Formats: sequence, C-alpha cells, structure tokens
Amino acid sequence: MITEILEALQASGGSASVRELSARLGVDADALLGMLEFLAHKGRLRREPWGGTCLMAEQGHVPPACRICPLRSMCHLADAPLGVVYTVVPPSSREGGD
Amino acid sequence: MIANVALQPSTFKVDYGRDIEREIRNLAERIAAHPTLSQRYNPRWLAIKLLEGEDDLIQRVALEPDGNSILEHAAESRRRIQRLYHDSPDILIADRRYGFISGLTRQVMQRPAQDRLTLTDRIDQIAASRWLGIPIFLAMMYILFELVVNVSSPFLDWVDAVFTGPITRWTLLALRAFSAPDWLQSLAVEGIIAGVGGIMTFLPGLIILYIFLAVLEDSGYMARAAFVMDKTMRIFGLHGKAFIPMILGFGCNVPAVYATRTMENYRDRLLTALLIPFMSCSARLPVYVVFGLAFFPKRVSLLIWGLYTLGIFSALATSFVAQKLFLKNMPPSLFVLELPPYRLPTWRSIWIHTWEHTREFVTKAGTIILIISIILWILLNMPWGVQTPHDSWFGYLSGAIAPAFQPLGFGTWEASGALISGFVAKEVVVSTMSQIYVGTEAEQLSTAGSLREDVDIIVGGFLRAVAESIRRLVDMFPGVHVDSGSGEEGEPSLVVALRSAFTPPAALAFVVFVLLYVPCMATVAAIRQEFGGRWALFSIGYQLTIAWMLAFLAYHVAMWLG
Repeated sequence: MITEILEALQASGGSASVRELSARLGVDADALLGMLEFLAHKGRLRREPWGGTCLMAEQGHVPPACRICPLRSMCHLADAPLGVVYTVVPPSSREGGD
Repeated sequence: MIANVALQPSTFKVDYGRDIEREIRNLAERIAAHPTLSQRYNPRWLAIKLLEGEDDLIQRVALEPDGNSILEHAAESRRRIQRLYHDSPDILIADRRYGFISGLTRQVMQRPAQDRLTLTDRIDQIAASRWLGIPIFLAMMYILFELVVNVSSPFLDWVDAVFTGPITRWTLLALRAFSAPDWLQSLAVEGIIAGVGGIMTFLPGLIILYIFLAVLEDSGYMARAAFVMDKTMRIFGLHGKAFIPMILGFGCNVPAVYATRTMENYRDRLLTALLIPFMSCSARLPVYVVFGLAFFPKRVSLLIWGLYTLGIFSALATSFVAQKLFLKNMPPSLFVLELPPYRLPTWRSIWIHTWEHTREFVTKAGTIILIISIILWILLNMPWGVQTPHDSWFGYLSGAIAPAFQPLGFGTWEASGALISGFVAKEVVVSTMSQIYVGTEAEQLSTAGSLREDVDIIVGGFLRAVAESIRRLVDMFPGVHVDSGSGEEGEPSLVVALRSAFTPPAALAFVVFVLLYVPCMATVAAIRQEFGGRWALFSIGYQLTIAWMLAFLAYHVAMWLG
C-alpha cells in the first residue's frame, strides 16, 4: 500500500490531495489519512502545517527584516493555515537511515 | 454479570508474504519454546512485534532469562528482511496490514460512489482539477480586483476629498491661529498631509482586499489556490515546496523569503528566494490602482490582473531557465496535502481579520510613512530656501538617475524619485508622488470654507460613496445596470495630476517596473540574512535588469499599438 501511495504520487506529478489520492487508490480518505499519520510516525513522511504563519513568527520572534518593514500589516496571507502537508522523506534524509 | 466463558484465541492471520512469514515462524518457534514468554504472549503476535521493533516489548523480553538471545534472533531477522526488500520490516508489515484492511473493506462494504462524495469533493472536482483549477484561480483573482476597484473607488475619492479639504483646512487654520511659521505650514500640508493622506486614500481598497482575502481564506479556497499553483509551478521545474513561500509572497515578500527555510536543499531555497520578489505583494496594489484610474479607467481590474499574472510568469520563466542551466537532475519532492473542507466564512472571523490588518496599516501609515514623508519633505526643501523641488537634494539625486528611465518613457526626476523612495516600501511610491505632484504650496491654500461644507464633504460624501459603491457592486452582475444618480464623479487629486506627467505607454511601463524591481529594503535584508550579501546584491541587480527590460518592452509595444 505504501508503495502504491508513492507510485500514485509520482503519477500525479509529485503532489496530490488526500482526496485525489484516495480516489486514485480506491481507499477511503480517512483510512488513507491513518496510513499517512502512521508513515509520519515512522519518519517516512514529514508532517507539517501548510501555509501557516511565518516560520520565525511562529517561533515567537519578529524576523529582523520585518522590524524595519513599514508594511507588516501586508503579511496577510501569512496568517492563513492552509492545511497539512505530508512530504515524502528521501532515504538519505531519514533519521538513522533505516 | 460476567459470563464465565473461556475465550478462544482467534485463528485469523494476516498473510505478510512468504519471506516475512518465514521469519515470523522461526521467531515464534523460539518464543514458544521459552517457558515464561510463551505463557504470557501469543508467540506469533510477539514475533511480529519484535520484528516491528516495538521498544516496550523489546525491553520486557530483555528482562527475561535467555531473552537477549531471542532479541538477537529478532534483530538478525530484521536485517535479513531489510536486505531482501530494501525497506524496514515495520513498514513492510504495516504495508501488508493496510493492504489487507483495504481489500477487506472493499469486499465487505458497498457504498454508492455518489454517497462517498461530500460537497467539498464535488466542489474540488472542479475548483482543484488539473485543467480547470488554474482558469478558476485566475478568474477569482480577476473578480477580487474588480471588487477592489469598483467597490473601493468611490471611497477612495471620498478619503481624498476629506484629506485635501477639511483636514488640510483645519490644520492650516490651527497653525495660522498660533502664527506658525511658513515652513511648519508647508511641512504639515505638503509633507505630512500629502504623504500620509496620499497613502491613506487607498485604505478603502485595501480594506476590500482584506475582506475578500479573509473570505477566500476562511472558505478554504485559498488552500486550493495554492494547490493548483503548485501543479503549474512543477511544470516549470520549481521545487514542489516552493509554492508555499511563493503564495506567501502575494501577501508580503519578507515572510515569504523566511518561509524558504522549509526547503531542505540550499539551491532550491536560493532559487525560490530570488523568485519571490516577482510575486506582487499587496503593497504594490495602490500604485497599480492610482495609475489604472488615471490612464486605464475602464480596464483597471484587467491591468491589475495582468500585472499579477506577469509577475507569476516572470518567476516561472526565470525558474525554467535556471532549472535548465543550473539545477539539472534535482529529484522532485513528493507530497500529499490534506486540504481543509469548504465552509461558510463567519462574519466574526472576517471582521477580526479585516480589523487587525486595517488597524496595523493605519498605525504604520501614522508612524513609518509619516517619518518617511517628513524626511522626503526635508530632502525636497534642502538646501534651505530652494525655489523648486527640482533643485532640491532629492530632485538632484532623482534627476541624476532619470536618464536611465528615458527609454522607458518616464525619464523625469519626479518618477525616478518615486522609484527611489519605493525602495523603502512600495506604497511609499504613492505617497512620494502625492508629495511631489499634489503637495500644493501651503501659503497658496485658502482656509475659506464653512463648517457646513466640511460636514457635507465628510458625512454627505461618505453616504454618496456608499450609494455609489453599492451601485457599482450591483452593476458588476451581468445584465444589470443601475444609473448613476448625479453622473458626476470626483477623482483623487493624484490621479488627475498624473495624467499631465505621464503618457499612457509610459504609465504602463512605470507600473511594470514597479511590479518587477526590488520590492523593498526589508526583502533585501531578509535575502541578505538568509543567503548573504552577495546574493542580496545579485537579487537587486537581477530584479532591476528584468524590470528595465520588460518595462522597455511594455512601453514600446504600447507605443506601437497606439
């Protein structure tokens, strides 16, 4: 199934939504999410909030360049959490490398 | 009541495949021979858990006599499986398990396809589809700009009238009542009111933008927009994760540059950071609006839409060339997105979003843009007593670089000066132009006018703006037309002033240049911090070159088309 997930991802051009992938694999979307969570737990996928706030702001401090920016109010899109992204971790980047 | 029934162990087994089953069998036999472990656990279950590397069970087995030899056996089995399948046993076992579950549910559950599709699925079949996703995204952008321009422009005229009318009059009255010197009156009217007022004029447009973005964001469409953008970016060879910072760039380029940190590869990060300035941040919008209203009043939305699209395609073209020349054979990243379901935005959420951003914008206009306006006024009046702004320090500096823009049709010191100050922040371009083109000599201004007239401008003007805004909103629906009551429409003073300073082709070249040249010093500082001074300088040089070339092209094509 995991191999099928990766193959389906390749076939979709590298990225797919959970719903697209579940339709392609014929697996229920909730079941697929369970698999993705399992793979994230095992270090095969990296689970990250997508969009979300600016990374530095998320860590609790204003980016240095923003301190001199007169238009910080324009960071509007940076406020929006857009979902969750599961990125396939290449074997060379895995902890312990299996 | 608890029944005294002996539970029979299940005979059901998931088949993990020949090789893994052999390892499970061998290990289970060792466990079955162990006096304590065989009593406590089902040998097959424990064997599978040990192959999966369950820490808790490994620790328990290690405490048993002869437990370590079972663990060594399990470790050897894991290594054999790993060698055979080039993957770890826990993943292979889970793979088989999920495969079994999936197959079982397919056999025992039958749900009509129609039932499985939620409303979100049905909308996504269109909004996030491979072929319709991008046209819908571009159409949404167009509608956004139509709303910004049509709904906000009556308010834009109203804010301009309030600043150039009552606020200017009251300020002068107060200053003259205290016998303030001429220079102070000039600073207040030509510097502060022209500068801050110039940019505050565009606040209604930004508020409409904030409202619409909040609706898109809360409804869940923004996530789809980013998703379909990603698919296009991949065609042009961009790293899959580049779309997150690129989309953020539409809001502000600075956090977008920092967001490249999510990318592992330095070259991908660098390329993305160098492309981000092409994404038109919302600070550039007031410049497009003022030039659109001045020169292309019937096609303002189309102009803004075209500029945003040009920015995207400039970034994609740069990426395509860079990938072909420098970044060959980079493996694509693979990822799955869990998109939030569509939902109806709440009024409260839209209000909070809009209010917070509006408040921050007003605060900044009242602080940083105020300071810049004062500095610019000083530079426009130095050396002290200078007769015309052209002879000022700012005029001298701007005039020195103006010839570089001559081939683009706007080689004047005023236009060059606005571009210089735009390096601080893009909508300072508008406040600078307001100071240069509109900042009427304070001593020439009359304080004549009654309180009644002022109230009419403030209250009556607002009500007329609301009515006109509603009329335009209704007019946007195909086949619906509502006549304008008076037929008279005021125009912001800067819009009128620009018509005598630019030709339409020069105006087009100017907005193209503003779109593509260095976004602001904060973005350059962010690139410098993330990638070093050398790349920050390269970014400045590259942006200026592309901006000049495309503005040149835009000017000459517009001239050719007449």
